[in-house]
Amino acid sequence: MGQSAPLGPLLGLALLAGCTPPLLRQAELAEIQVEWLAFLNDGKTTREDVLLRLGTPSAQLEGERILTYAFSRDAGGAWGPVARRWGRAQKAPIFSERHIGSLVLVFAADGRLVRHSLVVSG
Amino acid sequence: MRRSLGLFLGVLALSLQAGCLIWPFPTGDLLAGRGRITPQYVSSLQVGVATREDVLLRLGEPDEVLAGGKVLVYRWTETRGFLAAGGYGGGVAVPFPGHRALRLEFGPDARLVRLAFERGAPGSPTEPVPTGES
Repeated sequence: MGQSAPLGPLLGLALLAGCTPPLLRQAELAEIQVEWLAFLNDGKTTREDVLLRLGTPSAQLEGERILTYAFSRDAGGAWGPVARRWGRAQKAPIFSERHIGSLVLVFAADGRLVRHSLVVSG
Repeated sequence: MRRSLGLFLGVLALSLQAGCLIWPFPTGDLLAGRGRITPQYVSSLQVGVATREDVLLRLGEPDEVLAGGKVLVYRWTETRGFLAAGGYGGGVAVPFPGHRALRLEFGPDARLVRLAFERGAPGSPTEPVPTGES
């Protein structure tokens, strides 16, 4: 009995380890400089370049000033486009895959990229 | 406090007798959404200062765009615990979800006027989350 007493807290610690779900965060510089995003240069890349390379955005805001693309990363680390699915519990379309990345692109009035970011989780 | 602990232990003991277990502890699984958003992560988004553009660059694509872009909502669902039932020959464990949301409202100048964490699924009455908890 005396030896089994510490098992409770240890079991609890083991079960609670990793209790934080993946947190949203800004991608590191190395993550955003991967091959398929390397063409993005603030002040140079145009909206047309982006649309030709990445296709139809998953969302656009403020007209076409802000475009977003959603991607998921597979087990091999490769990124591919992903869409929301209807979540019965959420009663709304929501991402259900793991490792979703959201690329946000902000354009100036002349159609050139002025700011961009990649938001990932983990 | 002692009474609620006794009640909890009583329910736990009863559920064990019945062959089922309620495990009311979060496991860290994300059931839906892109990821949990913490108050620390959005602390740089100051009301009256941050623009819609700043918010989008920080948080990515929103799950809901309401009122013509004046309201952006980010949603995610975490596992808040399990209901497990078993017997000889098999068993089943069902996670019970915890729906979370971050709602951001913007003024006519596209600057942030309100930022609030909420609990509850869309369509159900949501409740604000106490400060310091996400």
